[in-house]
Amino acid sequence: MIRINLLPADYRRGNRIPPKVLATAFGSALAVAASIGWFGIVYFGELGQLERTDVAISEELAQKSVKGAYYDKLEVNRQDYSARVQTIQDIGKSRRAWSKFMDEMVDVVNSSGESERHLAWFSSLTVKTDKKNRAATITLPGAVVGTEMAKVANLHEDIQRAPFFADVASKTAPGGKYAFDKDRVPGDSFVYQLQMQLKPMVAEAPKKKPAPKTPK
Amino acid sequence: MAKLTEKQKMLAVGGAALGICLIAGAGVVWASGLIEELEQTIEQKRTEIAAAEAKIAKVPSTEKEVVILRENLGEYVKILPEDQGLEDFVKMLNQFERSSGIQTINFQPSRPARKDGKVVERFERIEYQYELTATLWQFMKFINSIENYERLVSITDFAITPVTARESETRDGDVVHSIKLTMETYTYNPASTGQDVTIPDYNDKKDLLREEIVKRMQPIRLDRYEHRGSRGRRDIFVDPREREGQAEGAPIEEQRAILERYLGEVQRLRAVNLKLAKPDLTIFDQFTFERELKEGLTKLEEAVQEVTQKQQITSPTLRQRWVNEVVEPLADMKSTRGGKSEREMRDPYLSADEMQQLVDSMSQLLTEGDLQSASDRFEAISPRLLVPESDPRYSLAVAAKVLQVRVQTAIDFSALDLKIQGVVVNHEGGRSGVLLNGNVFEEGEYISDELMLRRVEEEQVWFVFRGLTLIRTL
Repeated sequence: MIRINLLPADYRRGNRIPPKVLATAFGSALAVAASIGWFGIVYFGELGQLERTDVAISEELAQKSVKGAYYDKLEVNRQDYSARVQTIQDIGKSRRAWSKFMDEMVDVVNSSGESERHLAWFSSLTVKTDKKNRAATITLPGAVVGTEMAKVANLHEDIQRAPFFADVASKTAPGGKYAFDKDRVPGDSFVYQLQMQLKPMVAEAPKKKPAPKTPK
Repeated sequence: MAKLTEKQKMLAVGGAALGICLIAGAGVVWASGLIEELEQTIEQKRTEIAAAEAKIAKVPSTEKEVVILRENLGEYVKILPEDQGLEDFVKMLNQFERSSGIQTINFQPSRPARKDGKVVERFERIEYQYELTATLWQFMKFINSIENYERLVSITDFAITPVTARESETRDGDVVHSIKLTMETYTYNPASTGQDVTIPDYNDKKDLLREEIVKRMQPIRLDRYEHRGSRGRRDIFVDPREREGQAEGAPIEEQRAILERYLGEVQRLRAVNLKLAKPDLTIFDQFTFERELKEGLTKLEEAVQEVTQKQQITSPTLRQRWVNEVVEPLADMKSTRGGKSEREMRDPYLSADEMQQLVDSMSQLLTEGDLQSASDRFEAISPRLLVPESDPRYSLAVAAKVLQVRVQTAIDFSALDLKIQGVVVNHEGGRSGVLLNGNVFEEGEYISDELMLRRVEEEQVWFVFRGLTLIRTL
């Protein structure tokens, strides 16, 4: 028996694409489409959106940076002016009114004309101020009329009661040496050496700790 | 070309698809990397924006701060001379020298040398070394002038060495000392600082902040002190003991007596001053005390000047008491009572009530015959009765003056030497007469130009004196 296949050549069993190949091709096409689509979403979607955001943010940043830089300059100016004012104030604070000190010292020694407690005078006065902390050292050698050592102590007591004594950090203790001057009436006196250390006017900056030695 | 088997076809299709998928996957990985990088960049930019926004938020307050500081700095730096201000400063020192009376021997500025190329310090310290001769009071006045100068000058070191020679130099009676002094000041170099940022609408902002600028304009605290001279105090660098055989001035007892005398007067005037402070004083008491105090102070001042000029009190201790207990209380009383009161500044005249009170009281005293008290009351406050005619109190002032004329006339009349030695009273219509100072005068007769005998009665005689009828009883 002769069989004649009248189906078109493509549909003939021997010529048609096998279903496995077709399935593979379909599956492959699907996978390719999916992967290209994924790439497209990532590249053109996410990345594109981020790039647009970046452009917008960059513009915003550029604008705000100008104002930010203006602030930085202002802040530098503010700190500069504040530092100048602070320096001037520190200079102002570091000054001591010596005329006031001297006036008060004259009052103490004069003792309102009262000579019973002490009748004192100074043979010289030296004031030296420390340039760093502005503390001052006052050296006042002098004498008190009389033969009683207590009068030197009275003078010291009066000095301690004087307004300027609030600024005194330390003072020598009362003491003295008897002296006699035949040219003076009365000739007796106690010669003393008075020294006072005044408190610093400026707080010294704390010293930096030395860097730890590195072993060689 | 050989026909592919089914398997080969499947492998070819699958392989090609796998290749494409791998390329696409690699593309995704690459794109993800870009995304991550971009996200980090964006995050960083966002952080920068946040930081910039934080700064921008502070701009108004910082601008305000800078405007205030910038405006106030000009005031602050006034205490420091700029380079060109140093010449003025030195000239001012010279003025202080002249006003205090010190004598400069040496004056040297020592300034740190500026090296070429070195940055100029914003605040540069300049030191001056002084060598001078001065009395203690001259020196104290000099340093006080320096310390009270508007520019900041700080005296750092000084040494006073009294001249020990027996015949040491004196000025105004005080011993001259040798003094060394170191002072320092700072110059301000505004050019050494960075450029000022340009603040938009600066002047408008300055105007808006005007109040705040003034409020924050705290002058740099420079302790000022007013040195008031020696005030009778002795020089603490001079041995107060007398030299053997060289006692100065009057004996100490005499000096003490002078002091005690004036102390008494000061106490008396203080008592008057205290009376014046009492709240329940009448205006007459007030004016009487004021006059007494004023006269007392003037007399005491003259006396004090005389004692000072003649140097009647030379003892150091008594001199101090003299200043503390006489000169200074006198100055205090003069300063508190010397000027016009606030009320007097507003209205120099007595109030209407006070004038009425004066008129009433003078009338009463006149009736009681206490002429002197009436006159005293008027005299005490007479300068405050000189109201102008347009003032409503004018009539009261005139009434008080009229009363004073009558009081004065009566006082003058009572002071007349009128010795009535006898009277003749005529009851029958004829004129009566009086034997006065040895002369007989009849009614209507003038005894002098101002005095007329008006009527004579048994127990009293009527006179007309300066137009006022006055009676003298027998």
